[in-house]
Amino acid sequence: MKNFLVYLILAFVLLSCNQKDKKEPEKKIEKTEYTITKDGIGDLKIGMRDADVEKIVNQRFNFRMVIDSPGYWQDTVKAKYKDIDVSLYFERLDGDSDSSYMQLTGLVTSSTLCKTEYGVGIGDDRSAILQPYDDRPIDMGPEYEQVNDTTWALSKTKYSVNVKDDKWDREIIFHLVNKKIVSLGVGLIMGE
Amino acid sequence: MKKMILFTCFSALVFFATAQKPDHLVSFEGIDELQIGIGKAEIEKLLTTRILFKHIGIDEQYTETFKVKYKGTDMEIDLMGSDQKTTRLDGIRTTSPLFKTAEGIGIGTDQETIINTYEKHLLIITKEYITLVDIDNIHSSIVFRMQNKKVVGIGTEPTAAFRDRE
Repeated sequence: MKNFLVYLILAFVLLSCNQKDKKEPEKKIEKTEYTITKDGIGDLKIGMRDADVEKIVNQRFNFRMVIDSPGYWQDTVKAKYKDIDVSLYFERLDGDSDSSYMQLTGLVTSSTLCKTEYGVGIGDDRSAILQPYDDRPIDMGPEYEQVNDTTWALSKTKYSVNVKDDKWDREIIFHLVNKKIVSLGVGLIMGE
Repeated sequence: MKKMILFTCFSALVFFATAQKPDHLVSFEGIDELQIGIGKAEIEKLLTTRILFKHIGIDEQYTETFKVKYKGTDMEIDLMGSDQKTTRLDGIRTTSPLFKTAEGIGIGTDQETIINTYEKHLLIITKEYITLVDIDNIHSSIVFRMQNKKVVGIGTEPTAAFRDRE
């Protein structure tokens, strides 16, 4: 009986140690229309054509940069998607002007309504990002900021964390100021 | 006069102590004297051994990796070039716990410590590697090979593609 008790206690101790070692997988929260994933936010999907995005946000885009400046193929527009303000990044596809169109390559928002599928959003810190995306490739570091017309330097307050998908073709981007998320977005990874 | 001599001696001591690089240092430039970019002849002198190519200058391959001993420690070096004269040291790695960065990061250090230590640097984190990018020259980096979130290997290598952060 005494031996049995000793074994029982030993088994209990071993079991509890094992439980401690096992890391709880991060729980996903219920998806909403503002959940940000590597594909976009709600109906706004990366890769969409400008005409389709216009229908969703009910707004006509004026790509001034591309129209006014020859050689420019990128443009940014601000829009309202449901209750959130978003910056939409477009890129012209195809060199042929007759068949070319603008493709949505990225979007960024500062809305507190917008969170990732793990509940990471505005106001969270870096460790809140790193925990759930533990198994994903990540690059992070201070952002560059313009000091004057000719000089750029690494910022002392601005920081970004980029969580890539396994194919390294899309990423969720978190912009932090003074160690807290101030905006988040999603984009295509270019040139890699 | 005595004070003057004492002061001079003290200054000289401080100068040499700060100017001398510590032994077993892993930096963006390389490991100890094995600096990225040095030629084959210099590498052979430091390793006190001859390097015999199997590919460089023989076939189409212009990079070769060699297992070598440096200061009694096993190392792996990458050489790059098209012939004996142009070949340069392109990468170097070790699993020895003797070798550390200036901040004391080496074999056994965990991921969190690396992230916190290099807060002002650019880091690329994957399951197998953490790459610390030189902010003054994004083409060179210190690479930590990771296993179970601990460093098991350390070295200096050219940086893999890094996102434009502007």
